[in-house]
Amino acid sequence: MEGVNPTILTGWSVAALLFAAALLAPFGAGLRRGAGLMMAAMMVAGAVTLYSHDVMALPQICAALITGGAVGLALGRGVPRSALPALLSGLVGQAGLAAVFIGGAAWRDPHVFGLLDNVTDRLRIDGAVAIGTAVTWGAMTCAGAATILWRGSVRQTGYPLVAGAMLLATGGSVGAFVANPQTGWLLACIGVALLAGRGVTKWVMGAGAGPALALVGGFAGWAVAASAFLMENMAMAVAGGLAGAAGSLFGARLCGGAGRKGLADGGHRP
Amino acid sequence: MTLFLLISFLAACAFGAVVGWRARADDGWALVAILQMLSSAILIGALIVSAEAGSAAARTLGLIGIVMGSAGLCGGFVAARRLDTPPRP
Repeated sequence: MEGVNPTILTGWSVAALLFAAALLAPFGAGLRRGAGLMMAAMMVAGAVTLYSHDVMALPQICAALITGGAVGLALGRGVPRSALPALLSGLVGQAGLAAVFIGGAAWRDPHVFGLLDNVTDRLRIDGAVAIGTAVTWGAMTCAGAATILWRGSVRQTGYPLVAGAMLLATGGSVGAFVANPQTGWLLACIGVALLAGRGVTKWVMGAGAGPALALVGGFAGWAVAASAFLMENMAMAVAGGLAGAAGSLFGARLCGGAGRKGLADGGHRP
Repeated sequence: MTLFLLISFLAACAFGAVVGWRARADDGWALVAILQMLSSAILIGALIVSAEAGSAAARTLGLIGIVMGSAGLCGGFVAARRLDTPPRP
């Protein structure tokens, strides 16, 4: 922790507290207040990030921020209320795609992010793990969101064994990439993760689109957390950990499905 | 630094797990809206990539990530506010 500027540390801590408060808000203070807290947390985290880095492309960054904000506002306001769940699904998938891009950028320029070994000039193991997991969780998020968008609210039966086998294959491909960091293995990670995301989401959709989207939100959270370790950013690590744990556990509790007895019906809350 | 990040991450995971365990099925869409906004934190990573990337390809990927993250944050903000409003008769 030595070497971290106290101003940056304070900003990260404020952003982390706001993230945690926003996650709690829907259960007491209301979703509206939660959205406001989340926007405040992102403002603080973004300001600290711009303060702590040597920004070389500020005009392009501002243009991208304004463009994205305009697109988001137009989508959020223009979509009919009945299509809001589909919009949320698409936006979660978009965050996963952004994680894939960030992993790809770090793979393209590893020396900029300090991911190369000083002696051997090879990708360090922790860097390879972070790139592999960020890209994998991001691809799983994309595939999961696309599956929900494609199937809508139609309940479907997936196979838990197939989903489990795909998850194992995804872990294996990440391990192969870490052992031998090559572009081919990174693409293999993405391909296997797309299949795994589709398989797991299809299985969870037996319990409905809500739990499935919560689980995909959890995938996106893990992708954000992996990117946080890549970029060494505490605000992202906290946001990713909160979203990953809450979304994954909530989706897993409800994934017993309508005909099956899920954890949610097991006598505990709810 | 990595240890500090790991401790923060694990604390956040513990807090998130408690929230995920205590949430009721009725809270599903509200939780999804907040999760979507939390996952927009990828915008911070895209900002760092665009700010520090050396090559044009990496910077372009970062800028696309910023557009996506910003759209997700603003779209999720508006969607969450609309979800909290009771539907008109």
